[in-house]
Amino acid sequence: MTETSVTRAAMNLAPAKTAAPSRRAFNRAIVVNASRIAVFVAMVALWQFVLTPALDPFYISSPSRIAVRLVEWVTDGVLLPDFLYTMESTFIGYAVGSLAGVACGFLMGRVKFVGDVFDPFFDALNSLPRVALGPLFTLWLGIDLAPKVLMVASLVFFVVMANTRAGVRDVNPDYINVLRIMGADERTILRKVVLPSAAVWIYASLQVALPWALIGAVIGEMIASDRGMGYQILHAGGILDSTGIFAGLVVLMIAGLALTHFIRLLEQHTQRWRPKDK
Amino acid sequence: MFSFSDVSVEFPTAQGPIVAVDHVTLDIPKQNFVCFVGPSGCGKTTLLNAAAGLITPSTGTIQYDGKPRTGFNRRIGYVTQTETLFPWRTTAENVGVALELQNVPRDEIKRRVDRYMSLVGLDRFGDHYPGQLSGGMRRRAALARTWIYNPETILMDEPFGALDAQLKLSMQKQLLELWEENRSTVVFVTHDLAEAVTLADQVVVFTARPARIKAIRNIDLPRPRDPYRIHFSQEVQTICAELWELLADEITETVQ
Repeated sequence: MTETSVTRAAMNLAPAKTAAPSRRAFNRAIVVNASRIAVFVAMVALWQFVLTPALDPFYISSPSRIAVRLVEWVTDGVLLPDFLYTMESTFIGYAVGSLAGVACGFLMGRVKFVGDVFDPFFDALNSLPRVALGPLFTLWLGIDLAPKVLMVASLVFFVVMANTRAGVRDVNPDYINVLRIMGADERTILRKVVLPSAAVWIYASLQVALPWALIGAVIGEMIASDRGMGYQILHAGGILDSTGIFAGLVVLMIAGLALTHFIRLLEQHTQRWRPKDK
Repeated sequence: MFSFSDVSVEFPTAQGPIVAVDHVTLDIPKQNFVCFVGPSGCGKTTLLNAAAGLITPSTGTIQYDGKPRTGFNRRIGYVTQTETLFPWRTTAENVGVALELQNVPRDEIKRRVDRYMSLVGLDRFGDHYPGQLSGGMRRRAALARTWIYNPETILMDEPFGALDAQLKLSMQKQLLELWEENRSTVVFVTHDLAEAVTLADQVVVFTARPARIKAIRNIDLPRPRDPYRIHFSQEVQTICAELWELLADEITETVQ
């Protein structure tokens, strides 16, 4: 047997790739998306034509009123500054919290002694309701961006840290041994095995933490602020303007969806080695 | 060279310690090709793990080049029985990982990876991830990953066990050709007697658990050997029959 026939034997073992499943997947995607649009339209219609007439629009507003309000906000230019303010504290807090979370998670997962000592402290801190810390953050940092960033970071940090720690502890020791026998030092092992192996967990936590980041920013603005989406929603509530509240919520929902989608794309790109549809 | 003197390995369990390796004394001379055969689950893998430094023997010492070994042995390559290709790297990136650690230039890595990938019949699968390969292909990639950095001693734990008969012969041939070229010391665990006789200078027969050395048989067939020719030859069959007699008692013992 020559080398070509070995290759051919290998070819026969390879998983078959055919065109038919991709076409079927494409058709399925169309059906799924069409169904999603149908559900969305049905819910909006139910709200507009059944709930609003049956109940009092004072309490539940209506999709058309909300849409008009959103257009007004955009054309008057009042939406953008508040929106950007909220996004700013969300992003900075998310970045700071995630980086600190990954770093601490690595340390606690990889160095057993550090993990054993600090685990209960982090558990205790994490069990504190973060909203209750809001007044303290305001006392320390005033009412500008800093306390909101801290609120966001304090929520994101624990989610990311706990997941990173679990991911680092979950690394298959056989993988580490492979590199050890090849002569790798601890830093190389971290970079070439622990990080890529824990990446699945880290990405999962980044997705989970994203809504928490938005929640943190809005809560921070509701506790003490004169700007931001949280402040606007609170203000609308204060003047009994349900349309204003809903319009603010719609903006936050769209922002959250967009951010989650972005993280998912990033994950799909870096995790393309993982088998799909399993 | 490797020398095991009076090596035992015990694993503590809730039901009391299990002895996996029982007082093994064995010298493996440099550049020799040694095969371990024995009933499955007898402790051959445990002995290899101890040789690699992954576990510490409960009694006895393992010396490498006359020095007692502690910790990881970095002058060996170890092809384990478990799947240890990194799933997040392509096959080519997996095969080249040892060279990356040695800071070999990128184009040199690519050249050597290409050579070893075609040696194991995986030329067209460099960009595939391990998850997209069959079990046999992953085994071959794991072999290439170890061969590529040319370690002084190679430990192999049933590397061809999952391959079909033809591919197995072809891989044996490639292994012997490589070995004639670089003459590393090889410790090769298998449960296939014909494979052991075809490849080895010495075949070490182990008893059923705990692993004890039952016999050491020198194989004096001339080299270089061609597995295709000698696999079914009279000499190999005779030696196999002889070894089978030794093993048969052990296997009945295991089954009972």
